[in-house]
Amino acid sequence: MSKLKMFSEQEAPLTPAVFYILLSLGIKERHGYEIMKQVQEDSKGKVKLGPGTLYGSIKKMLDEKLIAEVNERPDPLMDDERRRYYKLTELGKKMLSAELQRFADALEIAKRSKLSISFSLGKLAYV
Amino acid sequence: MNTGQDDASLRKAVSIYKFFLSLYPRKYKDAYAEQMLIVFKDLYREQKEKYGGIGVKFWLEIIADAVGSIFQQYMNKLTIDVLKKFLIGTSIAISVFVIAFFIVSAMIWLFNTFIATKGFATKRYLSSFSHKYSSVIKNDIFNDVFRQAKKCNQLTREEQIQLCRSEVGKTIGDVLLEEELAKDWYWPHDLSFVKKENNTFYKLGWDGELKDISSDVRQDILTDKQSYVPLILQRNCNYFQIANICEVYETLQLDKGNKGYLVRLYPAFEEMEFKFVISLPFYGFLIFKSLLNSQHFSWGNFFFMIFTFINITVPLIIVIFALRFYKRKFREKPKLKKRSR
Repeated sequence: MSKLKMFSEQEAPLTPAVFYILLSLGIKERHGYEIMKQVQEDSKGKVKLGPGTLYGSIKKMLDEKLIAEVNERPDPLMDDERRRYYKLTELGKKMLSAELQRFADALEIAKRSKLSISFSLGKLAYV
Repeated sequence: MNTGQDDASLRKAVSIYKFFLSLYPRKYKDAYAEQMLIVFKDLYREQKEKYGGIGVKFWLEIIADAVGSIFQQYMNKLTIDVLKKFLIGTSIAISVFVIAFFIVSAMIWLFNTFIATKGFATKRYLSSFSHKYSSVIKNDIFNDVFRQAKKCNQLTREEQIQLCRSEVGKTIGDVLLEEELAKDWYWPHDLSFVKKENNTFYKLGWDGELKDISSDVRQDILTDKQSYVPLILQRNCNYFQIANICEVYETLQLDKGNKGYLVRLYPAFEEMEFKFVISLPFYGFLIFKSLLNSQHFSWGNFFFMIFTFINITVPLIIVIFALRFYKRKFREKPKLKKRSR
Protein backbone atom coordinates (compact mmCIF):
# COMPACT_ATOMS: atom_id res chain seq x y z
CA MET A 1 0.00 0.00 0.00
CA SER A 2 1.28 3.43 -0.82
CA LYS A 3 2.32 5.86 1.87
CA LEU A 4 -0.10 8.34 0.45
CA LYS A 5 -3.01 5.98 0.85
CA MET A 6 -1.86 5.08 4.33
CA PHE A 7 -1.70 8.72 5.27
CA SER A 8 -5.08 9.54 3.83
CA GLU A 9 -6.69 6.63 5.60
CA GLN A 10 -5.09 7.53 8.87
CA GLU A 11 -6.63 10.93 8.51
CA ALA A 12 -10.05 9.67 7.53
CA PRO A 13 -12.49 8.03 9.95
CA LEU A 14 -12.66 4.26 9.71
CA THR A 15 -15.73 2.52 8.38
CA PRO A 16 -17.92 1.02 11.12
CA ALA A 17 -17.03 -2.54 10.08
CA VAL A 18 -13.29 -1.88 10.13
CA PHE A 19 -13.51 0.02 13.40
CA TYR A 20 -15.42 -2.70 15.19
CA ILE A 21 -13.18 -5.44 13.82
CA LEU A 22 -10.14 -3.53 15.07
CA LEU A 23 -11.87 -3.06 18.37
CA SER A 24 -12.68 -6.73 18.70
CA LEU A 25 -9.10 -7.71 17.88
CA GLY A 26 -7.80 -5.11 20.32
CA ILE A 27 -8.87 -7.37 23.13
CA LYS A 28 -7.48 -10.65 21.86
CA GLU A 29 -6.75 -12.70 18.76
CA ARG A 30 -9.89 -14.07 17.20
CA HIS A 31 -11.14 -16.10 14.27
CA GLY A 32 -13.80 -14.98 11.84
CA TYR A 33 -16.90 -16.16 13.64
CA GLU A 34 -15.64 -14.79 16.95
CA ILE A 35 -14.98 -11.42 15.35
CA MET A 36 -18.46 -11.43 13.88
CA LYS A 37 -20.07 -12.11 17.25
CA GLN A 38 -17.89 -9.60 19.06
CA VAL A 39 -18.67 -6.89 16.53
CA GLN A 40 -22.37 -7.54 16.90
CA GLU A 41 -22.06 -7.39 20.66
CA ASP A 42 -19.86 -4.29 20.78
CA SER A 43 -22.09 -2.40 18.39
CA LYS A 44 -25.18 -3.55 20.26
CA GLY A 45 -26.43 -5.25 17.13
CA LYS A 46 -26.11 -2.15 14.96
CA VAL A 47 -23.25 -3.55 12.92
CA LYS A 48 -24.07 -7.00 11.71
CA LEU A 49 -21.49 -8.65 9.50
CA GLY A 50 -22.26 -11.56 7.22
CA PRO A 51 -19.44 -13.90 6.14
CA GLY A 52 -19.00 -11.97 2.88
CA THR A 53 -18.79 -8.55 4.48
CA LEU A 54 -16.59 -9.87 7.24
CA TYR A 55 -13.99 -11.44 4.99
CA GLY A 56 -14.18 -8.56 2.56
CA SER A 57 -13.18 -6.28 5.43
CA ILE A 58 -10.58 -8.75 6.68
CA LYS A 59 -9.02 -8.94 3.23
CA LYS A 60 -8.91 -5.18 2.99
CA MET A 61 -7.37 -4.88 6.43
CA LEU A 62 -4.82 -7.58 5.68
CA ASP A 63 -3.89 -5.77 2.49
CA GLU A 64 -3.50 -2.56 4.41
CA LYS A 65 -1.53 -4.37 7.11
CA LEU A 66 -3.89 -3.32 9.88
CA ILE A 67 -4.27 -6.91 10.97
CA ALA A 68 -2.24 -10.06 10.43
CA GLU A 69 -2.90 -13.73 10.48
CA VAL A 70 -1.75 -15.50 13.60
CA ASN A 71 0.61 -18.39 13.05
CA GLU A 72 0.31 -19.87 16.52
CA ARG A 73 -3.21 -20.89 17.42
CA PRO A 74 -4.41 -19.61 20.78
CA ASP A 75 -5.89 -22.92 21.78
CA PRO A 76 -5.20 -25.66 19.24
CA LEU A 77 -6.98 -28.39 21.15
CA MET A 78 -10.21 -26.50 21.53
CA ASP A 79 -10.82 -25.48 17.98
CA ASP A 80 -11.24 -26.42 14.34
CA GLU A 81 -7.71 -26.43 12.98
CA ARG A 82 -8.82 -24.91 9.71
CA ARG A 83 -9.83 -21.70 11.38
CA ARG A 84 -7.58 -18.74 10.88
CA TYR A 85 -6.96 -16.32 13.69
CA TYR A 86 -6.22 -12.68 13.29
CA LYS A 87 -4.46 -10.12 15.42
CA LEU A 88 -3.83 -6.40 15.32
CA THR A 89 -0.57 -5.17 13.84
CA GLU A 90 1.29 -2.17 15.17
CA LEU A 91 -0.28 -0.09 12.46
CA GLY A 92 -3.71 -1.47 13.37
CA LYS A 93 -3.14 -0.59 17.00
CA LYS A 94 -2.11 2.94 16.07
CA MET A 95 -5.12 3.27 13.81
CA LEU A 96 -7.50 2.04 16.48
CA SER A 97 -5.94 4.28 19.06
CA ALA A 98 -6.17 7.27 16.70
CA GLU A 99 -9.83 6.50 16.03
CA LEU A 100 -10.62 6.17 19.73
CA GLN A 101 -8.82 9.44 20.32
CA ARG A 102 -10.93 10.99 17.62
CA PHE A 103 -14.09 9.83 19.40
CA ALA A 104 -12.75 11.09 22.71
CA ASP A 105 -11.95 14.47 21.20
CA ALA A 106 -15.35 14.67 19.58
CA LEU A 107 -16.99 13.80 22.87
CA GLU A 108 -14.92 16.45 24.64
CA ILE A 109 -15.98 19.06 22.10
CA ALA A 110 -19.59 18.00 22.45
CA LYS A 111 -19.36 18.36 26.21
CA ARG A 112 -17.73 21.78 25.97
CA SER A 113 -20.38 22.91 23.53
CA LYS A 114 -23.06 21.59 25.81
CA LEU A 115 -24.24 19.15 23.21
CA SER A 116 -25.88 16.01 24.37
CA ILE A 117 -27.19 13.08 22.51
CA SER A 118 -30.90 12.87 22.21
CA PHE A 119 -31.38 9.15 22.36
CA SER A 120 -35.03 9.35 21.60
CA LEU A 121 -34.42 11.01 18.27
CA GLY A 122 -31.02 9.51 17.64
CA LYS A 123 -29.77 12.97 16.71
CA LEU A 124 -27.54 15.58 18.25
CA ALA A 125 -29.43 18.38 19.94
CA TYR A 126 -28.70 21.44 22.06
CA VAL A 127 -29.83 21.33 25.66
CA MET B 1 -25.92 -33.01 19.05
CA ASN B 2 -26.64 -33.31 15.32
CA THR B 3 -29.21 -35.70 14.11
CA GLY B 4 -29.07 -37.22 10.63
CA GLN B 5 -31.79 -34.79 9.54
CA ASP B 6 -29.77 -31.84 10.79
CA ASP B 7 -26.74 -33.06 8.91
CA ALA B 8 -28.74 -33.35 5.71
CA SER B 9 -30.16 -29.85 6.08
CA LEU B 10 -26.69 -28.47 6.86
CA ARG B 11 -25.27 -30.21 3.78
CA LYS B 12 -28.03 -28.69 1.69
CA ALA B 13 -27.41 -25.24 3.14
CA VAL B 14 -23.67 -25.64 2.62
CA SER B 15 -24.17 -26.63 -1.01
CA ILE B 16 -26.32 -23.53 -1.55
CA TYR B 17 -23.72 -21.34 0.10
CA LYS B 18 -20.97 -23.01 -1.90
CA PHE B 19 -22.78 -21.92 -5.01
CA PHE B 20 -22.49 -18.32 -3.89
CA LEU B 21 -18.85 -18.85 -2.97
CA SER B 22 -18.21 -20.14 -6.46
CA LEU B 23 -19.28 -16.75 -7.80
CA TYR B 24 -16.46 -14.85 -6.10
CA PRO B 25 -13.32 -13.91 -8.03
CA ARG B 26 -10.90 -16.84 -8.15
CA LYS B 27 -8.13 -15.29 -6.06
CA TYR B 28 -10.52 -14.20 -3.38
CA LYS B 29 -12.23 -17.58 -3.41
CA ASP B 30 -8.92 -19.40 -3.01
CA ALA B 31 -7.98 -17.24 -0.05
CA TYR B 32 -11.22 -16.94 1.89
CA ALA B 33 -13.88 -19.38 0.69
CA GLU B 34 -12.96 -22.03 3.24
CA GLN B 35 -13.06 -19.55 6.10
CA MET B 36 -16.35 -18.13 4.91
CA LEU B 37 -17.83 -21.58 4.76
CA ILE B 38 -16.73 -22.28 8.34
CA VAL B 39 -18.34 -19.05 9.48
CA PHE B 40 -21.47 -19.87 7.54
CA LYS B 41 -21.69 -23.26 9.23
CA ASP B 42 -21.24 -21.62 12.62
CA LEU B 43 -23.98 -19.15 11.83
CA TYR B 44 -26.24 -21.89 10.59
CA ARG B 45 -25.76 -23.99 13.71
CA GLU B 46 -26.25 -20.99 15.96
CA GLN B 47 -29.44 -20.09 14.18
CA LYS B 48 -30.69 -23.63 14.44
CA GLU B 49 -29.88 -23.88 18.13
CA LYS B 50 -31.35 -20.50 18.91
CA TYR B 51 -34.58 -20.72 16.95
CA GLY B 52 -34.91 -24.42 16.34
CA GLY B 53 -34.87 -23.93 12.60
CA ILE B 54 -33.71 -21.79 9.68
CA GLY B 55 -35.99 -18.99 8.65
CA VAL B 56 -36.33 -16.99 5.49
CA LYS B 57 -34.75 -14.01 7.24
CA PHE B 58 -31.52 -15.96 7.73
CA TRP B 59 -31.30 -16.82 4.05
CA LEU B 60 -32.22 -13.32 2.96
CA GLU B 61 -29.44 -11.91 5.10
CA ILE B 62 -26.94 -14.47 3.83
CA ILE B 63 -27.87 -13.93 0.18
CA ALA B 64 -27.84 -10.14 0.52
CA ASP B 65 -24.46 -10.33 2.20
CA ALA B 66 -23.04 -12.69 -0.43
CA VAL B 67 -24.38 -10.74 -3.41
CA GLY B 68 -23.13 -7.42 -2.02
CA SER B 69 -19.76 -8.91 -1.18
CA ILE B 70 -19.39 -10.61 -4.58
CA PHE B 71 -20.17 -7.34 -6.29
CA GLN B 72 -17.71 -5.51 -4.05
CA GLN B 73 -14.92 -7.99 -4.75
CA TYR B 74 -15.48 -7.82 -8.49
CA MET B 75 -15.44 -4.05 -8.30
CA ASN B 76 -12.14 -4.16 -6.40
CA LYS B 77 -10.72 -6.67 -8.84
CA LEU B 78 -11.97 -4.66 -11.78
CA THR B 79 -10.48 -1.44 -10.48
CA ILE B 80 -7.07 -2.95 -9.76
CA ASP B 81 -6.94 -5.23 -12.80
CA VAL B 82 -8.26 -2.70 -15.25
CA LEU B 83 -5.89 -0.06 -13.99
CA LYS B 84 -2.99 -2.50 -14.05
CA LYS B 85 -3.92 -3.81 -17.46
CA PHE B 86 -4.48 -0.33 -18.75
CA LEU B 87 -1.07 0.83 -17.58
CA ILE B 88 0.72 -2.29 -18.84
CA GLY B 89 -1.29 -2.33 -22.06
CA THR B 90 -0.63 1.33 -22.71
CA SER B 91 3.10 0.92 -22.09
CA ILE B 92 3.25 -2.09 -24.42
CA ALA B 93 1.16 -0.33 -27.05
CA ILE B 94 3.35 2.77 -26.94
CA SER B 95 6.52 0.68 -27.10
CA VAL B 96 5.19 -1.41 -30.00
CA PHE B 97 4.06 1.71 -31.77
CA VAL B 98 7.40 3.45 -31.34
CA ILE B 99 9.37 0.41 -32.46
CA ALA B 100 7.01 -0.25 -35.33
CA PHE B 101 7.05 3.39 -36.26
CA PHE B 102 10.83 3.40 -36.52
CA ILE B 103 10.93 0.15 -38.45
CA VAL B 104 8.13 1.23 -40.75
CA SER B 105 9.77 4.58 -41.30
CA ALA B 106 13.00 2.93 -42.26
CA MET B 107 11.20 0.46 -44.49
CA ILE B 108 9.18 3.13 -46.23
CA TRP B 109 12.33 5.03 -46.86
CA LEU B 110 14.25 2.09 -48.23
CA PHE B 111 11.34 0.59 -50.12
CA ASN B 112 10.28 3.81 -51.76
CA THR B 113 13.79 4.77 -52.63
CA PHE B 114 14.16 1.41 -54.23
CA ILE B 115 10.97 1.87 -56.22
CA ALA B 116 11.88 5.43 -57.08
CA THR B 117 15.23 4.42 -58.36
CA LYS B 118 14.07 1.36 -60.20
CA GLY B 119 13.11 3.23 -63.30
CA PHE B 120 16.05 5.57 -63.24
CA ALA B 121 19.08 3.58 -62.28
CA THR B 122 20.77 0.40 -63.26
CA LYS B 123 20.98 -2.27 -60.63
CA ARG B 124 24.60 -1.78 -59.82
CA TYR B 125 23.88 1.71 -58.56
CA LEU B 126 20.96 0.86 -56.35
CA SER B 127 22.88 0.20 -53.20
CA SER B 128 24.48 3.57 -53.22
CA PHE B 129 21.52 5.39 -54.59
CA SER B 130 19.79 6.36 -51.38
CA HIS B 131 22.73 8.23 -50.13
CA LYS B 132 23.57 9.72 -53.47
CA TYR B 133 19.97 10.70 -53.99
CA SER B 134 19.96 12.85 -50.90
CA SER B 135 23.40 14.27 -51.38
CA VAL B 136 22.63 15.08 -54.98
CA ILE B 137 19.72 17.15 -53.85
CA LYS B 138 21.55 18.63 -50.95
CA ASN B 139 24.43 19.84 -53.00
CA ASP B 140 24.18 22.54 -55.57
CA ILE B 141 24.21 20.04 -58.35
CA PHE B 142 20.79 21.31 -59.29
CA ASN B 143 22.43 24.45 -60.44
CA ASP B 144 24.26 22.45 -63.05
CA VAL B 145 21.13 20.61 -63.96
CA PHE B 146 19.39 23.81 -64.70
CA ARG B 147 22.29 25.43 -66.39
CA GLN B 148 22.53 22.59 -68.81
CA ALA B 149 18.86 22.23 -69.42
CA LYS B 150 17.47 23.67 -72.63
CA LYS B 151 14.39 25.33 -71.24
CA CYS B 152 14.24 28.61 -69.44
CA ASN B 153 11.92 28.93 -66.53
CA GLN B 154 10.92 32.51 -67.08
CA LEU B 155 7.45 31.16 -67.26
CA THR B 156 4.17 31.59 -65.50
CA ARG B 157 2.87 28.87 -63.25
CA GLU B 158 0.58 27.55 -65.97
CA GLU B 159 3.42 27.52 -68.43
CA GLN B 160 5.54 25.63 -65.93
CA ILE B 161 2.86 23.01 -65.54
CA GLN B 162 2.50 22.83 -69.27
CA LEU B 163 6.23 22.37 -69.53
CA CYS B 164 6.12 19.66 -66.92
CA ARG B 165 3.56 17.82 -68.95
CA SER B 166 5.77 17.78 -71.96
CA GLU B 167 8.95 16.98 -70.09
CA VAL B 168 7.84 14.28 -67.72
CA GLY B 169 9.83 11.13 -68.05
CA LYS B 170 12.52 12.48 -70.27
CA THR B 171 16.07 11.88 -69.35
CA ILE B 172 18.46 14.52 -68.27
CA GLY B 173 21.12 11.97 -68.90
CA ASP B 174 24.52 12.75 -67.62
CA VAL B 175 23.75 16.26 -66.46
CA LEU B 176 23.93 14.93 -62.94
CA LEU B 177 27.53 14.66 -63.88
CA GLU B 178 30.44 14.97 -61.53
CA GLU B 179 29.20 11.82 -59.92
CA GLU B 180 30.50 8.99 -62.00
CA LEU B 181 27.66 6.81 -60.79
CA ALA B 182 25.03 9.20 -61.93
CA LYS B 183 25.88 9.04 -65.58
CA ASP B 184 23.29 6.46 -66.48
CA TRP B 185 20.54 7.77 -64.30
CA TYR B 186 17.29 9.01 -65.58
CA TRP B 187 16.72 11.76 -63.17
CA PRO B 188 13.22 12.92 -62.28
CA HIS B 189 12.57 16.26 -63.86
CA ASP B 190 13.24 19.32 -61.81
CA LEU B 191 11.85 22.36 -63.41
CA SER B 192 12.74 25.15 -61.13
CA PHE B 193 14.92 25.86 -58.20
CA VAL B 194 14.34 28.58 -55.69
CA LYS B 195 16.91 30.18 -53.48
CA LYS B 196 16.12 32.20 -50.40
CA GLU B 197 18.21 35.16 -49.37
CA ASN B 198 17.11 37.66 -46.73
CA ASN B 199 13.49 36.65 -47.03
CA THR B 200 13.59 37.13 -50.76
CA PHE B 201 13.06 34.19 -53.03
CA TYR B 202 14.89 33.86 -56.28
CA LYS B 203 14.16 31.40 -58.98
CA LEU B 204 17.19 30.02 -60.69
CA GLY B 205 16.83 30.28 -64.41
CA TRP B 206 18.15 27.91 -67.02
CA ASP B 207 20.74 30.52 -67.85
CA GLY B 208 21.89 30.60 -64.24
CA GLU B 209 20.31 34.00 -63.50
CA LEU B 210 18.24 34.54 -60.39
CA LYS B 211 14.80 36.10 -60.63
CA ASP B 212 12.95 37.57 -57.65
CA ILE B 213 9.75 35.59 -57.26
CA SER B 214 8.88 36.57 -53.69
CA SER B 215 5.50 37.88 -54.68
CA ASP B 216 4.69 34.54 -56.25
CA VAL B 217 5.76 32.36 -53.35
CA ARG B 218 3.39 31.14 -50.76
CA GLN B 219 3.57 32.78 -47.36
CA ASP B 220 4.36 29.56 -45.52
CA ILE B 221 7.37 29.07 -47.70
CA LEU B 222 8.49 32.65 -47.18
CA THR B 223 8.55 32.25 -43.44
CA ASP B 224 10.46 29.03 -43.64
CA LYS B 225 14.13 28.81 -42.90
CA GLN B 226 14.95 26.53 -45.78
CA SER B 227 17.33 27.88 -48.34
CA TYR B 228 15.85 26.14 -51.30
CA VAL B 229 12.37 25.41 -52.48
CA PRO B 230 12.66 23.35 -55.61
CA LEU B 231 9.75 22.46 -57.76
CA ILE B 232 10.22 18.83 -58.55
CA LEU B 233 8.24 16.94 -61.06
CA GLN B 234 8.43 13.22 -61.11
CA ARG B 235 6.94 10.40 -63.01
CA ASN B 236 6.30 6.97 -61.55
CA CYS B 237 6.76 8.24 -58.04
CA ASN B 238 4.05 8.34 -55.44
CA TYR B 239 3.71 10.80 -52.69
CA PHE B 240 5.78 8.76 -50.25
CA GLN B 241 8.69 8.59 -52.57
CA ILE B 242 8.68 12.33 -52.83
CA ALA B 243 8.13 12.66 -49.13
CA ASN B 244 11.22 10.56 -48.55
CA ILE B 245 13.38 13.43 -49.56
CA CYS B 246 11.24 16.50 -49.41
CA GLU B 247 8.35 17.98 -47.57
CA VAL B 248 5.60 18.41 -50.09
CA TYR B 249 3.81 21.73 -50.13
CA GLU B 250 1.62 21.22 -53.08
CA THR B 251 0.70 18.48 -55.47
CA LEU B 252 0.19 19.41 -59.11
CA GLN B 253 -2.15 17.20 -61.06
CA LEU B 254 -0.83 16.66 -64.56
CA ASP B 255 -1.97 14.71 -67.54
CA LYS B 256 -1.98 10.95 -67.73
CA GLY B 257 -1.88 10.53 -63.98
CA ASN B 258 1.42 12.29 -63.62
CA LYS B 259 1.97 14.54 -60.69
CA GLY B 260 4.27 17.39 -59.85
CA TYR B 261 5.19 18.36 -56.34
CA LEU B 262 6.14 21.70 -54.92
CA VAL B 263 8.56 20.77 -52.21
CA ARG B 264 11.30 21.86 -49.90
CA LEU B 265 14.16 19.84 -48.52
CA TYR B 266 14.03 18.45 -45.05
CA PRO B 267 16.41 20.04 -42.60
CA ALA B 268 17.66 16.51 -42.05
CA PHE B 269 19.43 16.62 -45.34
CA GLU B 270 21.26 19.70 -44.29
CA GLU B 271 22.44 18.21 -41.03
CA MET B 272 22.53 14.51 -41.30
CA GLU B 273 24.15 13.62 -44.53
CA PHE B 274 26.55 11.16 -43.00
CA LYS B 275 24.21 9.89 -40.37
CA PHE B 276 21.91 8.31 -42.83
CA VAL B 277 20.99 5.19 -40.92
CA ILE B 278 20.63 6.92 -37.59
CA SER B 279 18.38 9.53 -39.03
CA LEU B 280 15.95 7.09 -40.63
CA PRO B 281 13.35 7.43 -37.90
CA PHE B 282 13.59 11.16 -38.26
CA TYR B 283 12.76 10.91 -41.92
CA GLY B 284 9.90 8.64 -40.98
CA PHE B 285 8.60 11.24 -38.59
CA LEU B 286 8.77 13.89 -41.26
CA ILE B 287 6.97 11.66 -43.71
CA PHE B 288 4.12 11.07 -41.29
CA LYS B 289 4.04 14.74 -40.39
CA SER B 290 3.92 15.63 -44.01
CA LEU B 291 1.01 13.28 -44.55
CA LEU B 292 -1.02 15.21 -42.02
CA ASN B 293 -1.01 18.15 -44.37
CA SER B 294 -4.46 17.80 -45.83
CA GLN B 295 -3.45 19.43 -49.05
CA HIS B 296 -1.86 16.33 -50.44
CA PHE B 297 -3.70 13.83 -48.36
CA SER B 298 -5.16 11.02 -50.36
CA TRP B 299 -6.84 7.82 -49.29
CA GLY B 300 -4.47 5.87 -51.49
CA ASN B 301 -1.49 7.19 -49.57
CA PHE B 302 -3.26 6.77 -46.29
CA PHE B 303 -4.07 3.11 -46.93
CA PHE B 304 -0.59 2.54 -48.24
CA MET B 305 0.77 3.80 -44.94
CA ILE B 306 -1.75 1.80 -42.86
CA PHE B 307 -1.04 -1.32 -44.89
CA THR B 308 2.69 -0.97 -44.38
CA PHE B 309 2.18 -0.24 -40.72
CA ILE B 310 -0.03 -3.30 -40.23
CA ASN B 311 2.48 -5.45 -42.04
CA ILE B 312 5.03 -4.52 -39.43
CA THR B 313 2.95 -4.27 -36.28
CA VAL B 314 0.91 -7.44 -36.66
CA PRO B 315 3.95 -9.75 -36.70
CA LEU B 316 5.36 -7.80 -33.76
CA ILE B 317 2.15 -8.21 -31.78
CA ILE B 318 2.04 -11.91 -32.66
CA VAL B 319 5.60 -12.30 -31.41
CA ILE B 320 4.77 -10.49 -28.17
CA PHE B 321 1.71 -12.67 -27.55
CA ALA B 322 3.65 -15.80 -28.43
CA LEU B 323 6.31 -14.85 -25.89
CA ARG B 324 3.69 -14.16 -23.26
CA PHE B 325 1.97 -17.46 -23.98
CA TYR B 326 5.30 -19.25 -23.80
CA LYS B 327 6.14 -17.61 -20.49
CA ARG B 328 2.74 -18.40 -19.01
CA LYS B 329 2.78 -21.99 -20.11
CA PHE B 330 6.31 -22.94 -19.23
CA ARG B 331 7.19 -20.77 -16.31
CA GLU B 332 7.59 -22.49 -13.00
CA LYS B 333 4.39 -22.69 -11.03
CA PRO B 334 4.65 -20.98 -7.64
CA LYS B 335 4.72 -23.35 -4.73
CA LEU B 336 1.74 -23.18 -2.41
CA LYS B 337 2.54 -21.51 0.80
CA LYS B 338 1.92 -23.83 3.73
CA ARG B 339 0.33 -22.32 6.71
CA SER B 340 1.95 -23.18 9.99
CA ARG B 341 -0.49 -24.43 12.52
